[in-house]
Amino acid sequence: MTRNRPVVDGIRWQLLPLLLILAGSAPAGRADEAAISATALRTHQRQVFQAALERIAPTIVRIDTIGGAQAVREIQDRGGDTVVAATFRQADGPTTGVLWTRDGYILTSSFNFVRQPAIITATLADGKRFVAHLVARDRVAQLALLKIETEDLPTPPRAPLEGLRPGQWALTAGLGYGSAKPALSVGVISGLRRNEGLCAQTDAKTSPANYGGPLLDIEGRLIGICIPKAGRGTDEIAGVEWYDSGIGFAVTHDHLNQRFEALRSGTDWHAGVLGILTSKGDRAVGDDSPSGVRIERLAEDGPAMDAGLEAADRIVELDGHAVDRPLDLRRALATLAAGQTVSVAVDRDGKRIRAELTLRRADEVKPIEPPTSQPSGRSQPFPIPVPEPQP
Amino acid sequence: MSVERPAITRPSALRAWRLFICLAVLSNSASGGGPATGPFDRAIEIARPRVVKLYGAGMGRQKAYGSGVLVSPDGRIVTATSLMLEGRSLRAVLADGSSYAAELIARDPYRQLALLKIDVRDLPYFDVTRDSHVRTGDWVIAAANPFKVASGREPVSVAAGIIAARTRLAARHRRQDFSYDGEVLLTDVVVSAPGAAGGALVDARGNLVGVIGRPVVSTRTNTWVNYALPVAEVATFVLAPDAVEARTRPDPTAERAAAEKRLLQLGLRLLDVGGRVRPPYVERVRAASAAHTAGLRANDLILAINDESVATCNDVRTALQALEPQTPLSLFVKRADDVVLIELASAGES
Repeated sequence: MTRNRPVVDGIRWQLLPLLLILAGSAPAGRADEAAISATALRTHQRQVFQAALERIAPTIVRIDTIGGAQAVREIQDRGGDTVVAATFRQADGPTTGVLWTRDGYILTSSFNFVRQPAIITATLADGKRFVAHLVARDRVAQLALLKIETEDLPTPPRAPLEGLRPGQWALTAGLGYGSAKPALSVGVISGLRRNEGLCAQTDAKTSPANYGGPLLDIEGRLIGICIPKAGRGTDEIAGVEWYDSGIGFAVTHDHLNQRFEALRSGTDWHAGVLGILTSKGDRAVGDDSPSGVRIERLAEDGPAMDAGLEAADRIVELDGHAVDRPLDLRRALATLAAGQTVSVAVDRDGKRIRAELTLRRADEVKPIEPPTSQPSGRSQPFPIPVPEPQP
Repeated sequence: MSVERPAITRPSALRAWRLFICLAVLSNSASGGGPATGPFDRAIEIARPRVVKLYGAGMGRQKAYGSGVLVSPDGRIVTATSLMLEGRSLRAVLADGSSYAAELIARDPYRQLALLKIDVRDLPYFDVTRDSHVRTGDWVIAAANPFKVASGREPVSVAAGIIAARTRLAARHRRQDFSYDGEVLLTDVVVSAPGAAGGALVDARGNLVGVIGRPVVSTRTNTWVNYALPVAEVATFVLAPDAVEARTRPDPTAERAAAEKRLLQLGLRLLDVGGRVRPPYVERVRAASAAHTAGLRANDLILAINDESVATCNDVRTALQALEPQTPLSLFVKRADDVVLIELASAGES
């Protein structure tokens, strides 16, 4: 409290002549009182931000890696050829992770291990340093699970997610710039259930300096873990080009819980595919065409074909999630990994048919030839209307 | 912008005059729907008249504009080094739109700052001897002219954010290491945009806390760093611009020899077999040497020296060479699956 005194005094000193001249001119006086309280409020906010950081800081881990190569990215150029593209160059600096269990599991972003480092160490907030082992990677949510051999670690308090609303305070913290304490950024929650439902979006800054670090609420409780992911890119560094843009994402801790349980077994999480090509585009709002996602084609011997699904079936449910539009299907798939056996319900000529199928990795399913007459929705996410030829 | 409040550093006669204007404006605006009372009004009112827009002669595709901060009532302006300064003409445009020819009077090659002078008096300015000691989480306003959005008599742009942290800068400018490696204020305001360098970072009360530095890429993250040179560093240059010596880089051969001597004194040899990335494995530890007594062993991988991470043999040499003689030395090393802390009473003679 004593810290605030000089502030108020300083402002009062500046105000003194003004008040003398005004001699009771109420409107101007009120205006400046408002300015004073606004300034004082900003000072208090610093204390609030710092308290939030202090609460979660014991669970923020500095990760250092040694060795490893630079990633190159293979992309399709416009002509359809595969080319090696210049990719974001990974730096040598420290990165950030979050303690997940008391016995030494650390969740972080897989962005920090793109280089396949030979050695990983984790340094706790109290300076203790450990060799860490990479247990598994999540290729969908861009996460990585590390393990250090120790006990009795602090874990982050979790923010209640059901109360999360756009516009509420959100902070990010990371150790990437080599600061002794995590560097902080303040913003708000910008959106919920982004990236196929996995992420909260924030305008607090996210970058390689805090990927793997926490997104926290104003109480210092964990909302999620920051990842670069943005848009539809699927590789581990997709989205890094949006760093510090005010468009950042963090995988929310409900999904982190689910994925942690899968990753701790030591198997990587790969996207599971159904082996289908769906109808082009999304249904327009107000479109009264039947609910569900229509299957246009099936991969030969793919999961959907093996389960007896057919072209023209409409998927209406996957793993208990109702499917009305393609986004529902993508969201359901984002919570499922290759290898998982799930229930699916389709609508076939008005009849509901249920089946079980086992999701597979995309590279384990034969590619589907897109129909030549009708380009698939997937290859043209934003269909450009072609004018009809004039007679 | 017709609303202007009294500037703290103006002469008192002028201040009194402006108070009357201020009174009139405030009463008018209060009766006419209420004045704006945003949380940063005061900071912005102070900052904007103290930040200037700078324009220089361009070179090729180089940006030839920037921002500067008034640091004296007689027209001294501090800015960040840029190619803008290399041209023949240099102009400073004040917040009221008046434009002056600026003269380059000093450079700080270490901090990459420059001091300019325009021939005007009684200007509002920031007192660089005052340091308000901002901390992590403090609100700050960046006042600068990124992308030269503001032109003519438009005031510079402002953007709000917080102090993210204080840290030592490790950065490069183009292909070269950036000379300044001292403490910087990190902020979450994006101030790495072209033209923002040389602008002011002020706290919520309008105190100057830093000057936005030249755009650089962090070697730790490979991203553009949003940083400002703390006002104390700016003061070191501004208050004694002629005393600032160019920090010439020491002779690398001599540096390496000094580091080798240290290693020899400690009794260890690094496994340095060449190649692009050379992780600092210990090849041999001399029996009964200081390093051996402290517990260092062959095949240990040195991870950090006095809490600074080292990734290569060269990092180890740089760290050892930079150590003061006879100071305690601590090493984190990786041995099999453990991280071991090795502590030595002395880093040896220089």
